[in-house]
Amino acid sequence: MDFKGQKLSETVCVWIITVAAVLAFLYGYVKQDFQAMMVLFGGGCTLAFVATVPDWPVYNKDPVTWLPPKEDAARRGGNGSGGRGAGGKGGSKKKGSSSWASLFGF
Amino acid sequence: MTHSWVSRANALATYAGTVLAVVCLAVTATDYFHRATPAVHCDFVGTEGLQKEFGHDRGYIVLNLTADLRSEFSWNTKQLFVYVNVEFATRKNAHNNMVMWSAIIEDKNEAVLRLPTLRPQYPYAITDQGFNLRDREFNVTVAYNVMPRVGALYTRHHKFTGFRFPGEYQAPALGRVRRPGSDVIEEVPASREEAEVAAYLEGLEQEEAEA
Repeated sequence: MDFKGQKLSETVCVWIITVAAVLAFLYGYVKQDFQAMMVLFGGGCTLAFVATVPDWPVYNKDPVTWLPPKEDAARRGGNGSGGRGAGGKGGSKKKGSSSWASLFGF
Repeated sequence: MTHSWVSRANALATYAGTVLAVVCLAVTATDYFHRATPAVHCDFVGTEGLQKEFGHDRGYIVLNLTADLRSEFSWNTKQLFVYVNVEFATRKNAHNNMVMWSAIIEDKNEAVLRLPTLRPQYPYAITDQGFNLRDREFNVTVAYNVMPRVGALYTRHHKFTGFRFPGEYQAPALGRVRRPGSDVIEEVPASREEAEVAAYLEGLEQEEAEA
C-alpha cells in the first residue's frame, strides 16, 4: 500500500463506520429495536474491515518512485554476497505478490 | 513500525469502539424523552396469620396487586425488578422496611401483573423486633428498578398507606384470611403455585408414612 493509499483507506474506514453508526442509531430508535441497531453497526464495521484492511489494488495507484541506485563499484565489490542475498529476497517477494497474502502486505 | 494490515485493523477497532461509546451515550439520551404511564394498584386483602414468637411478632399478610408496567419498557430497557416493601413504625424502631415479594420482568408482554393473593415470598418477611404488630398501621410500597441496556438504572415508587394489622393474634394458616376490620376468617384460595407445592409436600408425607 502506497502513501496515498494509506490516506484513502483511513478516510474510507472512518466514513463507513460513522455513517453506519448514524444510520444504525436512527433505524434502532425509529423501530425501537436495540438489537437491530447493534447488528447494523456491526455490519458497518465488518464492511469497513473488508474494504480498508486488505491491500486492495486501488490503494496502490501511486507507488513511490525511488531514485536509481548509484553505481559504486567499490561498495558492490566489497559486499558481493550481501547483494546476492538481497536479490534472492526480492525474488520471493515477487512470487508472493500474486497471492492472497499480498493483500495483507506480506 | 511500518504500516501494515495490523495497524489498519487496530485503527479500525479503536475508532469503532469510540463511535460505539458515542452511540451508547445517544441511546441513554433518548431515555430522557421516554414517558411512562404505569398503572399500579395495591389492596390489603387480609391477614393469614399474626403470631407471637420468641422475641418478636410475625405477620402473614395477603395483598391484591395489579400493575401494568408495559409503558416502562423503552428500546433501552433490559428488564424490570419489581419488589413490594412493607413499612411500619414502632416506638423502638422508627422505620421498619421489609421486602415481602420481588420478581424480575424480562419482557414487555409479561409486564401486566394480576396477583389477587400476593403473599410474602419468605415466611419471615414481616417481623417486628418486639411485640408491636397488633393493631399496627403499615404502608405498602410497590417499587421497581428499571434496568437499561446502557445507561443509568432508576427506581420508581408507588406508595399505598393506611393499612392496619388486626388487634389480636391469629394462628397462621394458608388460605384462611381475616379481612381488615373484621373478626370473620374467610377461605381464600391459595395461588396455583402454592397449591401445587402443598400437594407435592402432602405426597412426600404420604410416601414417608407408607415407607
